Amino acid sequence: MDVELIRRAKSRDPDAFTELMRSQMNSMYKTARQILQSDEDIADAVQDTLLTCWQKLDQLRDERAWRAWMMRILINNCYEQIRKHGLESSMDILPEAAAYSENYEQTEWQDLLWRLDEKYRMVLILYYLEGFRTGEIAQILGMPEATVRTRLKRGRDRLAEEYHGGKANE
Amino acid sequence: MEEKQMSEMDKIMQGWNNDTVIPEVVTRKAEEAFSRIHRECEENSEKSIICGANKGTSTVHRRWKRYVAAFIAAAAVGGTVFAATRLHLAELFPKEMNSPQAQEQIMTDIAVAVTGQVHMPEAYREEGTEDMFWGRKVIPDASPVLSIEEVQYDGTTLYIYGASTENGRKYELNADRLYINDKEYGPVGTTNLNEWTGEDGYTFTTDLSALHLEDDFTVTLPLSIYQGEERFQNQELSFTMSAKANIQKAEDQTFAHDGFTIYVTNIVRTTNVVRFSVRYQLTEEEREKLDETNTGLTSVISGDEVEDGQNGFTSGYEVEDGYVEEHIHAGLSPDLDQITLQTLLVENGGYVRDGKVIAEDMIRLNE
Repeated sequence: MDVELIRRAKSRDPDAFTELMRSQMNSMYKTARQILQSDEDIADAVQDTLLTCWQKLDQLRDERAWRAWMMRILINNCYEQIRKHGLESSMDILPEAAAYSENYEQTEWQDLLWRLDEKYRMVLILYYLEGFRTGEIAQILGMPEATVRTRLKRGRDRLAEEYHGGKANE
Repeated sequence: MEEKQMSEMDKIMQGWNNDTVIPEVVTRKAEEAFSRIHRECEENSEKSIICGANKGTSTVHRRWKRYVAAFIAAAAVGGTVFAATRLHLAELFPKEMNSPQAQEQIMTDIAVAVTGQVHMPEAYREEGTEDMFWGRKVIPDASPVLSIEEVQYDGTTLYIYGASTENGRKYELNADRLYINDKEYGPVGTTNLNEWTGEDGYTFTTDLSALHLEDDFTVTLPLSIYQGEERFQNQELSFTMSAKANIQKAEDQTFAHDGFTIYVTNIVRTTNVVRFSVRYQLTEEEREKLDETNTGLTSVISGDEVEDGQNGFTSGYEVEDGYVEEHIHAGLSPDLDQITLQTLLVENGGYVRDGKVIAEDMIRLNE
């Protein structure tokens, strides 16, 4: 990540901020999608996150931690959407896997992931897809690192169970 | 999981970064946000969402002002002295549990004893001795490195905030375990606030719910001290916590239903947390029915009264001789004196939200 870009954004340069956040849109969307299934809700959460990050970026002292900091704001905003609109409205619309990935094998894995409890799914996504360390995930999700490690292990185990179950039924 | 399958999963999950298509509505709203930021910067309006350094007051600052006001009012009424300054631990609480009542439980006047290394840190055990660590000599430095300024035990989690001393600012600190009444417990999550807020301090959290602490207990936090590749002798900080003041217990409760009986035991509530065990005793007929239909029972704490996002943490699940047992702890509104326990019939491997509610029982949280 371009530290200079983050510093320019921190100094209230809107062009730098826009460039910085546009580079994170894929990550933000994929992470929000683990909590919210309605694209409208995801869009609102992402928009709120952009505005909040702009408002609060000057409070971030260590540029190295900015991505985890941003992700925590995003996740909080996703839960805020659930609070506003209710879990059901958000969860009723299941993701259209085909639109999300055209790769059949990956679609199968997405389907397996979606069967996991969100608390496991979120940790797996942040660890594998977003490349955060367990300590960073603990900070993002506001929980002890030990809990992250436990959820990572249980999530993997449960994913394996689902995988074996699926293979056995084939 | 077998290694081969695990690596396959790793590969696929890591490869999942490709092929993401962001919906138009998400892109559009993001662009609206960027436009608003640009527009307000150009207009340099008073209503700006902050453009230019230090303009306006952020929502965080306003929030703290509100909390401080709440503390002052509480102190005037109750005669209790609360910290009329920013409480670092309050930022650590999940949003739903961050009520003024919960913040009142943060202890700020703590008698801390600092000693040298008494317990062997976990990291030493495999790789080092008392004097050597990874082949390097451990350097003594007896000057305190951390001042513990805020602590809270909410009935499940222990939170500690410490500010680095002038000496401590030279070092990187860490704690992987702690000791409760001199018995090792952990792991501990350590956060270096410098990476988040630029402050010279640390927070430490650990889940102690399995200990069922309901009385005074002693906490010893062994701090590992690093400076680059150098390792310094540990310092241990000890203090006493009181769980009693913040804990209310309720009597065990039983709910009989057709085919199963629910036993709710070990009910403990604090200002912001409730925890209890749920045990289902099934008749033989009910068990067979569940087996035949490939379904199971699960519990959900429901209702608007329980704070969102903290609903129904389940730790532990077992089926044995007709029993299903779950241990639940959840965030709680401080004014609440009862919650609803829903029992759901869920298809094995299915979504809990697709389950059918087959029983609803009110759990009383007060004696």
